[in-house]
Amino acid sequence: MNAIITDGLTKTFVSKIGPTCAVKDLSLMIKANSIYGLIGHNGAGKTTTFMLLNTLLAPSKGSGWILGLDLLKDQKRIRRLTGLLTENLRLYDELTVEETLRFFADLYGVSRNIGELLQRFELDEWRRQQVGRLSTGMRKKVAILSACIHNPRLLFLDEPFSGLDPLAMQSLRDFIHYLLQYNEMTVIIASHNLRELADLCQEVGIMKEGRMVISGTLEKIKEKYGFYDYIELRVDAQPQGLEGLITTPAPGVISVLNRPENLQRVLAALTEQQIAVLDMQKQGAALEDVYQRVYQEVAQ
Amino acid sequence: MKGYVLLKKDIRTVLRNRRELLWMIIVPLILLAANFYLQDQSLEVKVALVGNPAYLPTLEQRVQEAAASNIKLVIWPLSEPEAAKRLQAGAIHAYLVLQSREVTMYANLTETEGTVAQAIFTEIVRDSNQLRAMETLADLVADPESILLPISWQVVEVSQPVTSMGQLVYSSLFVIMGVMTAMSLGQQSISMERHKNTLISLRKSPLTDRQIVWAKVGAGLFSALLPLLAIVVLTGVILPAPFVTDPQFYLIIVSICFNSVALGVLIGSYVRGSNEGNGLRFLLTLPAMFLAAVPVVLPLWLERVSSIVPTLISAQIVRGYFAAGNEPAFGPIAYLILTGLVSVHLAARYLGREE
Repeated sequence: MNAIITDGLTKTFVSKIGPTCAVKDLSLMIKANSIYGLIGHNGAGKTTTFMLLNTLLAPSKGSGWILGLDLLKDQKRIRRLTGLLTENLRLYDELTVEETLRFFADLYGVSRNIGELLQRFELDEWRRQQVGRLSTGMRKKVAILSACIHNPRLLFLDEPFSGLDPLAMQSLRDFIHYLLQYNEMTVIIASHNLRELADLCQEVGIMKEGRMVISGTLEKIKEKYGFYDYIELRVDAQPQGLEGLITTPAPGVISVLNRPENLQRVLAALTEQQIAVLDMQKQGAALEDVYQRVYQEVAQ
Repeated sequence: MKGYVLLKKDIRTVLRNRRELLWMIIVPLILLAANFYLQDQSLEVKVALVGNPAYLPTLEQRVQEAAASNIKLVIWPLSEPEAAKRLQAGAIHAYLVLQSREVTMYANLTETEGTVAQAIFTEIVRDSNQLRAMETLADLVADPESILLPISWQVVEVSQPVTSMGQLVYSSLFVIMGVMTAMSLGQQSISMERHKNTLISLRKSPLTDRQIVWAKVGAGLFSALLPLLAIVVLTGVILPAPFVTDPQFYLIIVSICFNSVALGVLIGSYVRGSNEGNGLRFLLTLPAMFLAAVPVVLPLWLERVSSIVPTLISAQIVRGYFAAGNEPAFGPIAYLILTGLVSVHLAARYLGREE
């Protein structure tokens, strides 16, 4: 089942300097209960897309369905079923952690056991601390909890990793996995932290100047742009008869294209020639490389 | 009910900002005290009399009262041409032309001294009118010509007469404080939510834009009235003038605050940048501040403009209230409430305005 389907979604802002198309003809399908990453330069249209999908902006053209609900007709219901963490959300410095969560729970009219929630997400120690006095990582955690206090089925996170140290990032990663596993949420993340997205997301989409340039699994995108993953094997002898199937980047190391049929043939040959595999590593292009290539090609 | 959740949160936030709240009370108090001190210590009002001073029998007593309140009132007789010449030259602040049934004051109302002279003599004429009526009642049949009643009291070049020095200062400062603070609070309540990116969270919640705006108006009203009430209580203790106890005066204050907060919320909703918002706010409040502090005769076109601008009306209402002997003008109050409601309606419409 798809959590999001859009068809030709377009948003044009009209100002004194003329019309600006922030999102152009966006057609998208995002699977339910998955993590989807949205990548793009500043001004690529990521935030506007989030606003459109949360019904906070009305599309100029096109249509969409969020969790089976019509984007243009079921705005109230969609807003109840989605959660949104905006970029640089600062919350209310004067309120304590507990008061902040209670406030958002009351806004959505949900009765949550805030104490239990704080305990589960290791915030119990800070429950009476004012949000303004928390570390960036803690604040982000409170902000995400606030965004999903009403148990949304679809969670949008805009730049959730910005300003976080490695430990806080790990904590946030675990938190997102927890949401996915136990709350059966679909999570959409817009971020410039491509490594985190590559680790977290099952699918990614790359936007440029309001257009979705490409969307799909990372492997498919890599292949489309000529990037392939290789498996590097450290072996105790050089195998014979595998020319054209392997390369030898260093003595005692063979590299094979990460495809099941190739791997199968190489491993069979190694077994037959009684060659031991001492170590195995996956090598491949990073999401950064793919992202740069996509941007270059679109520019050309 | 959802709006109440936001209102409760905002009031809690206001009460938790104790330092800010304290400043909102302390600063106006210091200003009021300083104003009283400066005004009372250094004011010398020079008034010339033209005609028979016997027409004002309580004059001497009033001069003594003025001296007791640290206003030095200097009065001496002059001929009318000489008095007019000196007023023109700025050597005196006012002169009175006393006739049997008519008293005319020529005052330079652009000066504080001129306004004070007008305020003092308004009371003198009213009182002398009553006293003379009592005294001459017995002589009514014997010598009707000696009766001064009714005295026609006229102040030439008067725009907004006030009844006493204390009320003049109070009313001016109250309007300035009320309008400027309330409007700023209203504007900030929205622009801070926008600045912190929490406005999107609020708009995404089941709250409607109208509920958000009403909650902000409620919280702004609370924030504006709380320090004002504290000032009212504290001025009774600290400052030499008793405060107005008339409930109708507070109706005026509440309507001014509501209007100003609503206008502030409208500015906050409409304008995206804080600089633009501040500019718009100053454009609306500075003329009101000027009008409240300095009583001037406006040119006709400006008078017409001022009769529709809510902040200017706020200033006029307070002055008018004192001038009319504490009778509130319900028409302008209704206008303030109406424009406040229109502002709230527009603010709800502009809150989600696309950039």
